[in-house]
Amino acid sequence: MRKAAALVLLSTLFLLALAGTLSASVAFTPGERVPITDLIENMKKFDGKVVTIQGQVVGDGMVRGAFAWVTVDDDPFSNKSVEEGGALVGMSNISMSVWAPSPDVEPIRYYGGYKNQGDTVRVTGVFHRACPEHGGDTDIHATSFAVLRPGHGIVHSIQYPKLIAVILLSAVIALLWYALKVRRKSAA
Amino acid sequence: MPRKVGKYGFGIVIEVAAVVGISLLALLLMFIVKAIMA
Amino acid sequence: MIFRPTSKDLKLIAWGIGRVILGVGLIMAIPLTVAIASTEWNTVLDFLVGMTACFTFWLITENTCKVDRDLTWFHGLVVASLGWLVAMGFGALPHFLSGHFKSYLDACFDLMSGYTTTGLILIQDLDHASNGLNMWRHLLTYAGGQGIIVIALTFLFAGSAGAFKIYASEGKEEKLLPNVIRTARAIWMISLTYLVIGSTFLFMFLMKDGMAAGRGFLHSVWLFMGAWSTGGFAPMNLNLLYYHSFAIEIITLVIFVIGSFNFALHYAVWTGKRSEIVKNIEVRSFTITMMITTFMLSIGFSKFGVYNSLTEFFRKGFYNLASGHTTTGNSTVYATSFYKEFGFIAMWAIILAMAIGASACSTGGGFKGLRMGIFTKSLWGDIKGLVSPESAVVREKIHHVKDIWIDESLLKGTMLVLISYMVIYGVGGLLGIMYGYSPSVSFFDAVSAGSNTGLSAGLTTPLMPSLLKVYYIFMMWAGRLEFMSVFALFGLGIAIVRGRKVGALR
Repeated sequence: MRKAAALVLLSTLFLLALAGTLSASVAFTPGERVPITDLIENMKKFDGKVVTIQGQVVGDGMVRGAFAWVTVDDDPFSNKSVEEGGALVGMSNISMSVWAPSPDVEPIRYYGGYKNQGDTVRVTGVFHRACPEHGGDTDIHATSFAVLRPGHGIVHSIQYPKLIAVILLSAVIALLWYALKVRRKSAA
Repeated sequence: MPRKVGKYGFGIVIEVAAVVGISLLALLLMFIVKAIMA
Repeated sequence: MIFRPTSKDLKLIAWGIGRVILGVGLIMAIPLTVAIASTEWNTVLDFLVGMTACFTFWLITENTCKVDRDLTWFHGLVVASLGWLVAMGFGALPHFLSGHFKSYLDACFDLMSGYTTTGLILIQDLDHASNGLNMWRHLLTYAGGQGIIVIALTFLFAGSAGAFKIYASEGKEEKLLPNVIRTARAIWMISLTYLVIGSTFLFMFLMKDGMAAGRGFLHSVWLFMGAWSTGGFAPMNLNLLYYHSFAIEIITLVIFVIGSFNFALHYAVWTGKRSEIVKNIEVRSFTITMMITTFMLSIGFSKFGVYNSLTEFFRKGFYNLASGHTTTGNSTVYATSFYKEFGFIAMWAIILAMAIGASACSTGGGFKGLRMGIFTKSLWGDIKGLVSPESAVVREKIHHVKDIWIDESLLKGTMLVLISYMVIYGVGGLLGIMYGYSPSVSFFDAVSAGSNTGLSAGLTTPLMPSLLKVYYIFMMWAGRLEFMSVFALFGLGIAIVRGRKVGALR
């Protein structure tokens, strides 16, 4: 009896493990984070499914009544923006729009832009390839929206080589302007 | 500055109307195609 | 007999270009002001470097190249074509200094894209770009749409006959008014009026849709400029999708379609000739080809099944199709979606619409409605001629502000330009295929560049091969200038190499 039970248990475990490894490349676990680029490249696969993304909020939180739009970026620049000296990796940004309840969006302090790195958020929700509620927009309707880490202001220290270039060129301009005036006077 | 462009308020209305007209025509066409293909 | 240009000719051209660069430096004052107001000090430095570089160049040409003669047609053509390239080089300084571009080539690409009101971009990390940089990007399309040359004309050449030759060689031969300076000013007045009204509406709806006032103001001006110029730039990576707003889509749609109309049409309608809006051949041609491509797209959408409701057909289908046909480039979908969510038929409907393009003497690109009209009417005339008695004379006319008879030389000029576009589209598509991109994506982006549209199916990224970047810059430039100025530039090159010295005739 015990041997049979053990056999069934082992077989089940084995089959589960087999299914797990076989499906690892095909399925995903809802609740596990998906890179936004995967969503964009494979919209058909994720359409209507619950997904989780994590990244930096950028731009604006556009409150429209009970719900709001926020844009989440999870490209390398969301870790270190160009403005902070981040490396140029060969893309603009990778963004996904999130439709979340306004109270969830309210605590966000920083939205990413020239002067700030935005708060890092983790969003779980239903992904839509072409959302019928929003005229066909690609979006995620958030069921859970959490601010993980606050953002911060980006410090821009003055780039002195540029200042020097401006001063030098201004001097050249002054010289050339003077030369022009002399030339015009002598022509008159 | 050209003198006669005093009626330009109305010029804008005409041009906007033209765009709206073209858009409505297209909307009608899409509606018909959708209905036929359904 | 080709004569070699003299040093006086070359000096005259250099002087003309110097004036254009002065214009570029002057308009940099606008993004400079925005950067100061936004306390973006490094961006301020970027623009100061750009401006001082431009003024230096101008002063050098003023000092060394001043010649007593006036410009001829030929000089005008060369200044227009070469001037765009030099302006691209200087205009790219603030871009490159911002740090958002991998190379100077990438910065030049975005510059040419802005000036030609294309809208393809290689900028990186756009979501973290400064207000100053965004002001410059969008202003480029606005200024480029008016023609940098028109700007230079308006302010700098007052009174000189050489002015008209540069203006005409930029691809806007419409003589709205006898005096070309007054024409340039009329173009500006129409554009500025729309700027005020369009931005105001955009601002109102952006506020209603939840944007803060300061950002809303900047975005409304930028979105207006991008749409009116049919450039297609937007301040965020998601382009028009960022706003998720039917109202903003409708307003930008109205703006970019009107913006794609011929300036002569605006002038006619605004000064009381209201019937022009329905009689004009380009409006008719646009309406017809818009309906044909809408029909194609609707079938494609219905078969592919991603977009189902009429609203989705309109907001995703019609909007992007119209954006393509007017060669704007504002989009409400991701680049990959043109391939993966639209399906083959709808994607090619957009390619066709882009290729045909907008109106002549406007900010649009492509074959132009006027040429479609001339070609189609001429073909119709030929068909009628085949079935008419041998002795019958069949001539066709078109209505473009006034009635114009189609004669052999008009047709020949039209065909030359049509064929030139098809060649550059074709070469662009084939180059992409050679580099391994799929044919649909390859042709989509190539036609987008050559017609100065700016929609992308994903080929145009900072990682694309450098040769393709260079070819795309060439396509955007040649397409915008409608080839005439480009031919003139090649002519100059040949004349320098093979022309006889004037003295040798004796």
